[in-house]
Amino acid sequence: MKRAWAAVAMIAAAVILCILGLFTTNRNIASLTELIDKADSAISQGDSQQAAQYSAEIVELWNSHYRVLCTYISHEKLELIDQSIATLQTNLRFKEYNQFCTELDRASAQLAHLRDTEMPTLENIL
Amino acid sequence: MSVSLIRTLLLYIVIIAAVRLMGKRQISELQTSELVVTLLISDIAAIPMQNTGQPLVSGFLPIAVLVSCELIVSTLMMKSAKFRRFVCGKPIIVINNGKVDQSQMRRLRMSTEDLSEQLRQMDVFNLEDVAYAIVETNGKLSVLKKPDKLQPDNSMLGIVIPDNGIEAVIISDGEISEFSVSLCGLSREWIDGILQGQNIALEDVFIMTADKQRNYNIIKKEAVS
Repeated sequence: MKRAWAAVAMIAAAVILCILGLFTTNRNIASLTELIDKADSAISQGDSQQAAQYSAEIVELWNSHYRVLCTYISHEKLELIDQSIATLQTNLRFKEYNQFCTELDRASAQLAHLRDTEMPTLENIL
Repeated sequence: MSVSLIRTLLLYIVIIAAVRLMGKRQISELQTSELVVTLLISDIAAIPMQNTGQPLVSGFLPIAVLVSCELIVSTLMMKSAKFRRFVCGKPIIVINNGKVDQSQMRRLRMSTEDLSEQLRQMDVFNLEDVAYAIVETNGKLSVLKKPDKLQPDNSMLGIVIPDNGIEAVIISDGEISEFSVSLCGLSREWIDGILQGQNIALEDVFIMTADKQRNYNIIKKEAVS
């Protein structure tokens, strides 16, 4: 019976871990998406300095979130987002504002896709 | 490469722990569900071992869930005969009182060749010798021969064999097994006395067996050339 209780405890721990992972993913993606929206808004208004500041924050935030996300999300999925975010500051430096907006949109879409694929919906399970 | 090495070591430890947790029942004859779980665990463990892009938790979590499910199912099977029948089915008699039950064989999709093969593996070469043959829930065939075809044992022949009790390995590679010593009702002092009498040091013993009647057998370690 002890092993049965150990089994129940393991399943409970697995469920808690999954809920925690979901919560962490959603929270991290929400914070990044918010910054991306702010950067997009800033560049739309022509404020490239504000956009550069937001880009730096995005990079810093992504690097801190990456350390946690890579422990339970496939690295391939995260690398795509990593590549988009990595180009932001370079595009601003060379005043490639169109490319900057494109990469912002790409990063935003990839983050939304990541959030959607991590949710335990019927589409993902089947 | 070093990442692969560390991951392999970690997963190896997890697999050993999983098999130990599932218990001796897992290591011996397997039910269908247990076989499936064992195969799945090895396949799942291979994924993060080979692909360092997959997080380790993608291996640990499914293994933990499979082991937990297996433990819960085996506990429920122990508590409930109905549940056990639902998961494992029930033994099926294919030869009943010397008569082959063809309907049961059809139900099992068992051909006559399958039956003959399994009988031969049980050292039965004549169908007429079999009183009962039962296909167990793990797929193995159990056979009871007709009384006149059974091998006689000592009690049937009126032969009295002295009971020496169990023989156990009490020293293995220079190390005494306290469990085996107590199992045979022996003592450390008796072992020391025997080794002293034979002029053998403990560390020179490859294997020493003994039984409750204090019959023993010692094999010394070979000299390494």
